[in-house]
Formats: sequence, structure tokens, C-alpha cells
Amino acid sequence: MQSNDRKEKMTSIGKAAVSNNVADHKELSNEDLAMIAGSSARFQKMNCPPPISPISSGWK
Amino acid sequence: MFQQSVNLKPHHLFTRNGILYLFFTDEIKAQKISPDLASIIESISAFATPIPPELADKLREAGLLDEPVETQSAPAAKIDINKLEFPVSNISMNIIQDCNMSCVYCYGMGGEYSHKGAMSLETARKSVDWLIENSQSVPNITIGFFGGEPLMNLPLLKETVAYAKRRGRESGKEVAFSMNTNATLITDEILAYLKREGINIAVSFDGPPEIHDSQRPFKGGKGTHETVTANIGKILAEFPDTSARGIVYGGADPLKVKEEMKRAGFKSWTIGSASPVVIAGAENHDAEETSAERMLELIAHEGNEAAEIIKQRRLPGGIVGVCLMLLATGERRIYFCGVGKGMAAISADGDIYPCHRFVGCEETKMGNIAGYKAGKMNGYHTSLVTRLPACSGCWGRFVCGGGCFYDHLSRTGDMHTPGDSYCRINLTALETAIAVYCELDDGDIAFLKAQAETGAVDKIRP
Repeated sequence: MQSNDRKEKMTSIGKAAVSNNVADHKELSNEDLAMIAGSSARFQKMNCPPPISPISSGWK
Repeated sequence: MFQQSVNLKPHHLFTRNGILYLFFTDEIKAQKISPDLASIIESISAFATPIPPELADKLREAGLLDEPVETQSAPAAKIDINKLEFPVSNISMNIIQDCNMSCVYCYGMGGEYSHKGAMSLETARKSVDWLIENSQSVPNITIGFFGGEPLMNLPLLKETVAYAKRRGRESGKEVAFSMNTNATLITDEILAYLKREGINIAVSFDGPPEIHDSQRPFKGGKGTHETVTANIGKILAEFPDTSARGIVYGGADPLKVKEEMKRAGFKSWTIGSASPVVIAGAENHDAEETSAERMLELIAHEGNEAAEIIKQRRLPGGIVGVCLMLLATGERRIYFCGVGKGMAAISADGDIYPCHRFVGCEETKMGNIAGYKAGKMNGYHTSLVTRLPACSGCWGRFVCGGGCFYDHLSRTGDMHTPGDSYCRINLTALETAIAVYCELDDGDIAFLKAQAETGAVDKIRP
């Protein structure tokens, strides 16, 4: 799929991510903000490949 | 007859090998249930369905009712977004966009990302400076050397490590390093250097010769298995915890890949299926569906052996094993990974992308180290799994976190809409893990939880 086709298929939230706009805070609930700020912070910095994906990872 | 309205908590009810399981989406809890209870659940809809009190009692007893809980705590204070930091704490650097191999599934188009070339020393130093500045108050930062094959630009890698260590000392930050390599250029001298400098390695390796050589040839077509396996022995002698990275493509059997990784001596491994290429003008492979079927076979295998491994107080491998640890902790996963948030990729030209897989995909470029400043909440931060249209209603959302945005973009054209096979693999793995989890005793679960809390989940990373 080429770039122009992708742009047409993208949802509004996807377009916002790609355009890298600073997010509109008004769209976010306090619960959203709490999640962004809070307990899952480690998932914000998680490198690739992260756990849980169609990537099967493990230890001997 | 008096009836009362009930709301059911978000849940997933499924059967596996004739046994009924119930999974609570928000609480990340699972239990086996009776056919009697299952039929009650199935007979009512999710919202405000009037039912007799005795049925409501049964649902309440099973923890299924979504009922308001009276609390004494004050309402949560409004969060001031301007007081939060949005740091970048790890980067991957494409120190060279060129490779001595020509892997059939390479999303970087032969490691060149449509723009072949080596990173300059000036760009490398500015990349380090960019990371230090944009990591804000984060004390521990990571630099991953990527390509192409990063050992084709070893002089720059060495210069960058020396510079980053100096800048880290000056700025009070601890810098960690990693490198993804195809292992064809490894020498004793290079290994000694990597060990001295504390650079962790991940090796790309697709298992037995018939798979590895067909998927990962040198440019020119000669197989690389013989060269790579000879070097893996040297690498593991110095770095016993080195992780293997394998890709299944087309009909390649992941069980064979896994067995060969173990035979080669790897203690940790990842196996994934190939994603299509998103760089403009790229020709794409058409082997995803077969790979998906093969991945499901691997998940079934992992499920069959997971409980026995845990009983031996070892960590089960694979996506099923990781699901088990997340079930044990009950931690909600709101993002899949750090894409566009805590991690960034820097191309050989200094352009910044959300992660290493997006390099060369122009529409996702975030800026350049010369001018781009992170630190503000962006569209990736707000892409919580609860806000993604395709994921917000999924029963597995808080274990999956929304999935890999690159994979989604490459398959569906929208980074927030997963391909069908992606969800099929993920949710099958989660159901498999739930079935295993329900057979574990308290000691087993305590073991998994302890492992997860000591960071075992994150050890997948190099």
C-alpha cells in the first residue's frame, strides 16, 4: 500500500499521531490524563520488541 | 415477578478443550466457570438487562456485576498536563543504511531505507546531544545501534560510544548501549571491544540452514548460516545472555527456528512474522497469512508446555509466557510500546521517526535533530488503547495495548487499525495463557508475579 492510499485510510487519531501535532487536551478526560501520566509509564518508554505481540519471545 | 437491572463488567467468555473460561477485561483476571453460569451470562446482554434477583446474586458472586462502589475518597484532582514531562529515553541510531545481506523480508529495503549511506560523526554527536536534552530529568538513557548492519560502520559506533559516555558523565546520566547485528562481521577483537564497553547484543538468526539461508542470504545470494553460527558460538561465550531474533516468513516453521536457537545456545529469543514494507515504492511480499498460521502452531506448542515449566520454577517462553506474567500482575497495558513517545529512531541523515521500523516512511517523520524538540504530549501519547477505535472495545485491550503501529500501518494503511491476522494471533495467545493460568496454584502465580516485578517481562529487550 502506498503513501497516498494510507493517508486516506487513516483514522483521525492516526492522522493526529502522524502529523505530530501537540494533542488537543480538551479531547482528553481526566481519566485519560491519569493513564498517560500514571501507572503505565513503563509502557511509554518500552523498547522493541515489547512483550505481547505477534512476536513470540522467551527464555530457555 | 420482580426483576432488577444489572450491568455486566466487560468480559470474554470462551471454551477451550471443553472447559469454560471467563476473563475480566478491566481487571485482567480469569477464572473457570460452570456451564450453568455461562448460560446465564450468554442469555443477557451487557447493559441494564432486567433479570430475577437470584440470577443477579449468582452473577454478583462470580464478580461479574458492574455495581457502583461507595468510597470516601475525594474526587481526583484535575491533572495539569503542563506539569508533566514527556521525555525520550531511548533512541535507535541508523549509523549506516547499508547491509552486507539481503534478507527477503527486510522492511528497510536491503538495510538502505531508500536512502543508502553512512551517518556522519557530526550527526552521531548531535543525535547523542538530542537524546540527552530531550530525556529531560530521566537519569537512565539507552542508545541502540542499528542499520543496515551497524558493524559496517564500526569506527562511528566507537566514536559515538566514547562521546555518549563523556556527555553522560557531564549531564549526570547513565547511558546504556545495545546493538542489533547479523553476526557476519563479528571478530574476537570486536567482541572484546563490545564487552569492555558494556554494549549488549541481539543477533538476527532464523534457525536451521534451510530456513536461515533462504531468508537471510548475503548480497549475491550465498547463504549466511555457516558464518553466523560460527560467530554465535563466540558471541555466547562472551555474552551468554545474548538474545536471538528470528523471523518466520511464508511457510517457515517457527518450532524449527526455536529448536535451532536453543541448540545454538541462546537463552532468550524472539520470533515474529514479517511485516510488509511501508517505504514509498517498495515491492511487498505476500506471505503473511501462511506465517500467521505457523505462529498459531507455535502458540499452541507454548501453551502445552507452559504449566510444566512454571512448576519447575522456570519462565515459560513465548508470547503465552509473557501473557501469563501480565495476568499474574494484573497491570493494565495502555500502550503497546514506546513508539513516538519514550523512544525514537534517528536515520543516517538525522531525521527522527517514531521507531526504527518507520525509518524512511516519510509521512511519519517527526522532524530532524537539528530542530525537533520532544517533551510535549503528542498524538502518540494520546493514542491510549482506550481511545483507538479498533481496540477500545476489544476484550484483550489491556493486555495487548493496541499492538505495533508499524505492523498495522503496513497491513491496513492505518497505524491504529490492526490486520486480521495480528489480532487472531494475539487473542489466541491470550486465550491460551488464560487456560494455562487457571490451572496454576497460588505458588505458581506468586512465582510469575515475582518474576514480572523483577523486570523479567522487560528482559525481552536486548
